[in-house]
Amino acid sequence: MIFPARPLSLGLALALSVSTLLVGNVSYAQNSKKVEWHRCLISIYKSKNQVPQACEEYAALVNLDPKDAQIRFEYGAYLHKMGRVKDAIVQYRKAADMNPSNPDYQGAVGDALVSLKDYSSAVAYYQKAGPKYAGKLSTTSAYVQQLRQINQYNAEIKKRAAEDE
Amino acid sequence: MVIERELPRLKTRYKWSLALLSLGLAFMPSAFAQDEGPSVTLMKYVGKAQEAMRAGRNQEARDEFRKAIGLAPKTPEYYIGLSDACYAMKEYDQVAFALQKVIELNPAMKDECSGEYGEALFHLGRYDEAIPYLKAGLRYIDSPAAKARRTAIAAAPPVSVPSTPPASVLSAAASTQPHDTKPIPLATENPASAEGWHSIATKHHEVDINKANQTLAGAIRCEGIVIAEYQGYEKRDNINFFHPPKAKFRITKILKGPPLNKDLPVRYEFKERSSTSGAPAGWKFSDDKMPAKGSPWIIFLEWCTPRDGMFDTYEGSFGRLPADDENLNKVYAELEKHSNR
Repeated sequence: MIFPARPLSLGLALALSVSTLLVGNVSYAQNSKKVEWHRCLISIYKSKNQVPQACEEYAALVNLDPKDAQIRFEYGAYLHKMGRVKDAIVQYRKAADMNPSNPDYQGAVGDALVSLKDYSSAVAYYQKAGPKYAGKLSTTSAYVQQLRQINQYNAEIKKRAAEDE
Repeated sequence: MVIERELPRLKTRYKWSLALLSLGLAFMPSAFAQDEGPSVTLMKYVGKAQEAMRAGRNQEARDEFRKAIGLAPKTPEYYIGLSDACYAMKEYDQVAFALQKVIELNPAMKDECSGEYGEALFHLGRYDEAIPYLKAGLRYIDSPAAKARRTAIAAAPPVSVPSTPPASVLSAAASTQPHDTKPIPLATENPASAEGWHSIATKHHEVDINKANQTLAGAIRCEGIVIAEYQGYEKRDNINFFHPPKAKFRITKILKGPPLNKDLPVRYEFKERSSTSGAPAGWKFSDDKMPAKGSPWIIFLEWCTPRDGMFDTYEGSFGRLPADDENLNKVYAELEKHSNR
């Protein structure tokens, strides 16, 4: 009684797997088409300097694949260029968290933090970025050191002035 | 990596077009009814195009689809095939042209073709036109109609090549005797004989092998034949006998071949391609070397694909004939002879 059911179930499984494969392929193609068309729109809006529309398309692109670090990085770079540094940092950080080994993502967070004058946090990201950002790391570290010394010096002056009084 | 990433996408894309093509083949009688084309030839072209697409020979697929379109210019499925072949080769002007024709012929397919049409317009730098099509494409791709279509295509059986005639038909054809069964006379060494070697040798001697192709019958086999009005030429400093100008023609009628843009840039050659002689002594380019503006010409296009932005005429200057009654009569007569009816 069981024997005739086996080939049937095998056939069903085979048919199901084939159809799943086909549908999977179709959805992959569908998604890549969407990505392509959103990218076309982004390029058009960028060339026309239509920032809100370009951001809208970037957001749509991010929604299509929230785990795609590269898209988030590109979105962040565009926001950074347009002066929306805090929004850029959000996207950069997500990209860096998704792919911590990518020096560009880490370095981009560092650059954006430098734009916000948050040097000590920037140093941490430059350290993660590795040798590619060694130059920026040493400059920023030196600057942080200098700032620290200036602060210490200012604190000392204040302290002495208080004692004199 | 790029190929690995793109392969499934292209495969699926081809599956779409092949499925659409199979639908086209299923409705082949309607395509014939509108165009009265020779069905066997059309089947051959479409079959070859499908084969070529499956094998990734996009250029061949494009050429075969063009031939199919030449025979059945009102069948949108062939334009879809053409657009897919051209898309794979990044020939976006051809993609835009083909999809525009699809939309013209079947407005119901507008939404379906919008995204790709918009993409082609984007690559052609026609940004303002591209935006609405891209947006429409993105709207359509998530719509229930698109989902239903995708499901239907995914569930469709694999497309097969048009079948060969049944064995009985083939054997009947093989058993048919040729009309002329008279034996071909063998060459002899007798000079007096009409079929003798010398007479054959003399005949061969009379034929200039370089000019063997320069016959109207040869020209008729071109991919495209059009009647076009001469509009002018692009002025450049370095035009000479072997570096011809780009002549601008405007197509008034297509006698053979796929639909082409009305503006036809032609490499206006001054010599016949097979000619071995150089430039005539004292030859210098001037306006009088060009035809009168507005004059009609019959132009034989060896291939309906431009080279360096210009179309080549058949055998150089041989492929241009003034479109007078006498020449038109000859061309129409030859076309009729080669129509396979």
